[in-house]
Amino acid sequence: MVKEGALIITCDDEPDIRESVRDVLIDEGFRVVTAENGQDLLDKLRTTKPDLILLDILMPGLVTKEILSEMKKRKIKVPIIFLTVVRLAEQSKEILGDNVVDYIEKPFDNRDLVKRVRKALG
Amino acid sequence: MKINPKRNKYPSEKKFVENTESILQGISKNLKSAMIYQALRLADGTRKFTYLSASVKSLYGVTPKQAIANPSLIYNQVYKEDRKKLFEEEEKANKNLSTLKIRVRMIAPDGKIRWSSFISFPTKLPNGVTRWDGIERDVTDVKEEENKIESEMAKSKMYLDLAGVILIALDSGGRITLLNKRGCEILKCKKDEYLGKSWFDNFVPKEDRIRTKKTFKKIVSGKIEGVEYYHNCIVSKNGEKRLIAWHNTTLKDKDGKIIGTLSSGEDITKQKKTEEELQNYKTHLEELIKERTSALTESEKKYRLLYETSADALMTLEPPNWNFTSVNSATLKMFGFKNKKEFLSVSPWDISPEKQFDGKISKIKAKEMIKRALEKGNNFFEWVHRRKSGENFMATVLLNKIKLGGKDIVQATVRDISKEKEIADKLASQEKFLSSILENIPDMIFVKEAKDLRFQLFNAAGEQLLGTKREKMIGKNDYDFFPKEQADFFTKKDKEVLNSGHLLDIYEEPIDTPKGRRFLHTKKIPIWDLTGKPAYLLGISEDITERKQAEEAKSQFFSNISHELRTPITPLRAQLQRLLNKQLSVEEMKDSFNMMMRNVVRLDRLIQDILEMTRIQAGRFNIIKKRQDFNEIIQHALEDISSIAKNKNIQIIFESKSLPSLYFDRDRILEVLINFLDNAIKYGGKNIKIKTEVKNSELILSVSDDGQGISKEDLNNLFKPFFRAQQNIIQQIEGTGLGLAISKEIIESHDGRIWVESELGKGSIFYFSLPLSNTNK
Repeated sequence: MVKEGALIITCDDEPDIRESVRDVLIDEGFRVVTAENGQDLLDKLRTTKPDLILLDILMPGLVTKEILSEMKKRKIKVPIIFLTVVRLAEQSKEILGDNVVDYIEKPFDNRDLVKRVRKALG
Repeated sequence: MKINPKRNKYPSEKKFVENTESILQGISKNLKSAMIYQALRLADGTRKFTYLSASVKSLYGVTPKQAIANPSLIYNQVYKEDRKKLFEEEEKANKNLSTLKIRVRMIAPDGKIRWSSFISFPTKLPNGVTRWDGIERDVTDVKEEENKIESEMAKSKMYLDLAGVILIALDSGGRITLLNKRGCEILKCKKDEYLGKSWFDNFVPKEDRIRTKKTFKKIVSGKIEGVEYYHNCIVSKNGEKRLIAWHNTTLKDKDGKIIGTLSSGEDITKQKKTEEELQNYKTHLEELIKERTSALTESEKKYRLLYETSADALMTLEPPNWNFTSVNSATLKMFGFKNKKEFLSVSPWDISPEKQFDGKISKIKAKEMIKRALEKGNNFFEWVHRRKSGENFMATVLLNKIKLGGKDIVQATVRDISKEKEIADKLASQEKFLSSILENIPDMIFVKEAKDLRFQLFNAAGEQLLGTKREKMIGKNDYDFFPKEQADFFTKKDKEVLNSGHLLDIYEEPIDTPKGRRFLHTKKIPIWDLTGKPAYLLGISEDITERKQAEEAKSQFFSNISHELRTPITPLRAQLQRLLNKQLSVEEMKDSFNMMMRNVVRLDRLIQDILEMTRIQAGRFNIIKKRQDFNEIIQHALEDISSIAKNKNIQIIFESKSLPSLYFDRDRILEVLINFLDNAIKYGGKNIKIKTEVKNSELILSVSDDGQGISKEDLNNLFKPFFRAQQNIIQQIEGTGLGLAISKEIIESHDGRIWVESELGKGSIFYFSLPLSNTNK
């Protein structure tokens, strides 16, 4: 049962993509916090307990691996969906598991995004 | 037997009486120089005189009384070296009771040397005492005579021995009475070994013995005169036969009676042998000459035929003027003469151009060449000849010195090599042509020996690629230059080619060179020998490193393009979907459209970049320059970028200066400036500074940032199309890899320069310059 008003952090360095993801999710009644990059995300995780994280895996700054290991260190167990602009590289698939539950290719279909988010929230 | 004890007591009494008699005789003979003495030798060996005759005074200069009192007055006068001998002999005679006979030298007190002869008889007395009764005579005169005779004899003996001939004296019975040293040598016998023995029985061959004995008898009996000179054989002691030439004379005594023969002989065995050999040789030579003469006649016929049919021009030249004296048909043909008579009237230099290829005068050089042939026996050289028609041609000339009729003449063989020369020249130029192709081909070409895969040949491109001179490569193999792993690979492929006999195409092989790792596209081809076995391996390698890098960059570029295109499309699609499917407020719709607009612009710019790059690559790149204000574009760029800067909290400083107006393409230069600023922001700069300065008739613009900086390795490639810094890929910073490549093209087409100063972690400064004198060309 998906709880309405679940808290989602969407992290992307492209402001317009970040905003668009937020818009689509808010339209569906989710609560959304945005993060500009990996460091921002890790900072926000100190004060925010999200139900799901949408993470762009091609960001400057911290590499996805570093974000995941830091989360693991801090024992943050939140499901993660990767957002990727390239046809998913093999490396991204390898990261699946642990908390990473799914990946969505950009540009995405809004309905598909919502469907997957709901599924991840389970 | 009854023994008279008295006699026994004095056993030599009788003898003494006898001796005394003989002494007296001696005295009567030479009383003046003889001394009679009696002495006792005691058991302890001491001597003392018991009687000395008066002549002791004349011999020793002492009185008998003095000598008896002091015997050393006598003994001390005995010559020191002879004294020992005297005592030894005395000792011996004392022991054997035999007569002592000795000659010794005496030195008189006045220093005169004389010879004395002692004859002394021992008588045994009781108590070990011996009594000596003796006489001493001065024999100096006799000794001198004897010495003279001895020396004369020694001399004649020496002469006999030194004589190179055999000397043999035989007595009338045919016994040897004299045989000199040379005779002993020839007969292989010792000196005196055969003295008194029969000459005929020992040294004449058995078969000759009876005959020679008879003749000898007749000679010594005076029945016949001996043959003065004759040859006959002798047999040496060891059975060797020698031939001796003899010269004989008969020896006669003072009455004229023949007492023997004297023969001198010379060993002529060797001489005889040589004579025989010479005779044999002569016969042999005569036969040989006969044989050769007939062969020569035959050979001359053949030679004539060869001479006439030879394709080479053959001729003879004779001194002193070195005119031709004979010539074959080929000569006439080669030089274009009608008949031999016509040819024989010219000289060697008449059938040569005035000068040879080395610039020497033909006449002088020809004489030098002949001279050399005469000195060395032959001379082979190249020569430019001239036909009667005036045409010059290249020839080889062999001059041979031959003896004819006692004088040295020269035989010449001339071969027309103009055709060969032409072919050789052609071959040489062809080879030069081929090798220049080989050397100028930009691909590495190498040849290896099939048997050990050692380098045989290496071209310039190969030297350049591997950074090694061919002298160092030739004779070595891959293991001498490349890591084992690579050498193993090359060797495996080489063997594959040689075993299969087919060309092998290796599309990409890495190779480590002093200049770093390169990638080659190599074709390996076996080269066969005449028996069909692979003898060599030919390799042609194209350095595809740059192409490979370009291809990789291109594929990276397409991956980047796709990423860059998807980024603006993502919000476009999301917002469009929202507008279509959701009930949005006016405010929301406005925001949505704005966002879409931004991203459409971004897409447009991206597409412009790609198109521009495509144009650059296709060589269609237009710059439209105008004289205009430079500050204006900086202002424009600042406005353009300000919203982004503001969003990212980035400070951009620009120190405005008055700048001269100059010629440039405004949109293009603006593009470069915006690209610089974009990069500064993208790579983490928070404080960005734009600076302009005029220096050395250039306007220099720089954009500095305090961002992450660029690694040394990346700096070199920064302006290459599609290149993206390693750091960007790790950090996944977006970009097409085109911005700086396009900027470079733009600046360079303005005759300006573009460069960067940067250090990893310390920010970067990007520069471009434009010449002030730039006009609208």
